[in-house]
Amino acid sequence: MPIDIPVIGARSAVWMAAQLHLYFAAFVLGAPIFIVLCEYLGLPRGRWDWRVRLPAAILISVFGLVAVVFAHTVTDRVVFLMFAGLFLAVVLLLRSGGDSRYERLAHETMKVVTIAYSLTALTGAAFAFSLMGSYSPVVTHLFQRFGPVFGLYVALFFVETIVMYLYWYSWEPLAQRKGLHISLGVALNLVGTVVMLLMNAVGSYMLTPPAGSETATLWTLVNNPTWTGLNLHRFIANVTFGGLVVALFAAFMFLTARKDEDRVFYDWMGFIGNFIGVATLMLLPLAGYILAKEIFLYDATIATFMMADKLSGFFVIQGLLVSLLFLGANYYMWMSIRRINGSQLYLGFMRPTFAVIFVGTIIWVTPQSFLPDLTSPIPEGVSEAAIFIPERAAFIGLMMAKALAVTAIIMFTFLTYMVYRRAMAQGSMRWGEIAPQAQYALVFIPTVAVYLMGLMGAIRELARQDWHVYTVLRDTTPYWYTTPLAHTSIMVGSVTLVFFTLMAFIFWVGFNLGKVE
Amino acid sequence: MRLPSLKGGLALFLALLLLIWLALPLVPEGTGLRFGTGYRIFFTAMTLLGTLFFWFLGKERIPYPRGPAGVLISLTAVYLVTIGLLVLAGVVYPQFQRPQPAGAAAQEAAGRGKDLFWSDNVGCFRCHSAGGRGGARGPDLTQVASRAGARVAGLTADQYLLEKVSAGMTYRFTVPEYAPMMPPFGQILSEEQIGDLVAYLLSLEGE
Repeated sequence: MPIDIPVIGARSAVWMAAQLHLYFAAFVLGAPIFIVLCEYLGLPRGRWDWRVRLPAAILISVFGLVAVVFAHTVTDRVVFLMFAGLFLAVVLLLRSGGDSRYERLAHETMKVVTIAYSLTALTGAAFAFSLMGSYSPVVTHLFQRFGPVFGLYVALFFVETIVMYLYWYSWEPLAQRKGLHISLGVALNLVGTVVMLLMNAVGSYMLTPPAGSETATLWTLVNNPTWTGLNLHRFIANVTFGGLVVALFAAFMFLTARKDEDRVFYDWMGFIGNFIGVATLMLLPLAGYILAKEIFLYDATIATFMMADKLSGFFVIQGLLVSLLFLGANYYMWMSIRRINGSQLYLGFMRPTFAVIFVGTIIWVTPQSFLPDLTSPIPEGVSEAAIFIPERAAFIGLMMAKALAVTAIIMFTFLTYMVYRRAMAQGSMRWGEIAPQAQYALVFIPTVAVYLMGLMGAIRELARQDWHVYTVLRDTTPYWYTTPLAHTSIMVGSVTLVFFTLMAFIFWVGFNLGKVE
Repeated sequence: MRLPSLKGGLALFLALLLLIWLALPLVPEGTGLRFGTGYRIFFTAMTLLGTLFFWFLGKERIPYPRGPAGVLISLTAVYLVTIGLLVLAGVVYPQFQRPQPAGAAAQEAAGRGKDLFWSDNVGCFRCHSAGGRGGARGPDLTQVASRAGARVAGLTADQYLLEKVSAGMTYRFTVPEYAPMMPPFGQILSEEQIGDLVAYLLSLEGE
């Protein structure tokens, strides 16, 4: 390889820089979606309604139609139509309510986004430099294939930066012209989404290059077999990620707040952030399934490599992580229900709900066998019965049982929310009085989410096996091999640690440093 | 609502442990439901996790951390314990061996192929260039890994190169811009040596 990087090696360096960049990018792309939504919700009722809702509805319709037209299978088309319909329904049914807390939530979150934006660019530069230095043949290959896409990406990155600063710095000056300000926010989201779509094209191409890619048109390379699936998955996941990081920020601020009024506000903010994160989280298993199906249709051997061979253990941990997310989210929701006046009536449902989620978790993470891949021998001194699931219980290790378990977990999470709604209809919320452990749940959930995101990213990259670009450009560097789960876990844990340290710095510099009482 | 005490949770935990370690092994093998040691360890871990979770669920309220240092320490502790346990789960899970031999073999093969390519007796370099050095009678091979897969329909890059090097100018495909003069190396070199040469050619783009 052209240049190796001392101590940690070129692959680990590129891995860390790329993953860090993706964490920040996910936040700065996901958070503005609900920042604009919250700014809208904070407007006086009815005043701006159609001026904001109509353009948003048109935008969603256009994006939905484009996705439906360019999807690769009929199933994908139906699902994209479903998602577009869902988003459209949200926009059309949502009414501004004149609740000024939404305005404050949007404003404070945007402050975090502006600081995080610089770190997105810095980590992006670190990623680009390490890749160019150590993997120049890959960079050359991608530039040869995607030259115009990279050009457009750079141009739109400039536009996004300009619109982002305009949106942030015009918050006060345009306080009386909210329609214009929200339009800026919508434009920011639009440009940000297109930037994401461009890079998704390059990332998805590396795993699923279209047949005859040497002579294929640029559009065929962009609209490769997993582009639409990856777009949908990342779009939803970014909103989930943004919501959960906002909840993390709220927890941090709640625990450090000195005034009751601040505690009341950050309690509410944590609730909203977590709600947005969990509401979109429930859509992710379906979006992930679509992406996996696209990979399977492209090349079934990749799917086998992922689900039954070397990456099967990774998916056991993935099941555990998603289950932990749902456990954490439900725990937080029940802590919220506890501080509603008159909610004692409903607390009897709490333990049965968690019992179902727990049984679902066990089914989801029970592996078919404890062999790490298809070629590993049974270790000496260990019987076959010790590591293979018994014959009559084999169904627990199959997709059907796991899909049912996930469905049960999602359904009971939804039921928890219904209980919350019911309790709220009959009682009143005592904001600011939530038990402190609920705030720790808001730290636990994003920690697991960030780790999960890193692990899934590693799975998607490792699925290419010993190829830079699957079946097109072989990885002939000393780091060509698939990393075992332990190595991957340590890498993901380390990157997560750096990310959280930087986020803590952002919260501190944005809200504590130089604060005047 | 009366929340179950720690004693109740412990009793349930011990009962489940007895079920997993004493009752499950007694299940007759013919039923096809006897779970092995690996699964019993796994169920024990899940039971422990569940017991801890339900015990924590029963807590109404834990005290607030004291001062900014207390907040920082408690938040860091939650984060580190979470990440630590997640990494631990990944580390203790059965691992496949890093496929070093195949990778090392590929690297070694490419090294041997490089020696052959630039050697006087085989002398591929006299007609072909690679990395800016070598002759011009035949095509430059620096980027051959990218284009070889598209030469003959149905053949991957390495399959095509193996056949082409073996058959030389007698092969069904010759590059139109160059006169067909390549010797059929299948008659000169062993299969292993041709494999080494192909490994080297495929590695050229990464150099």
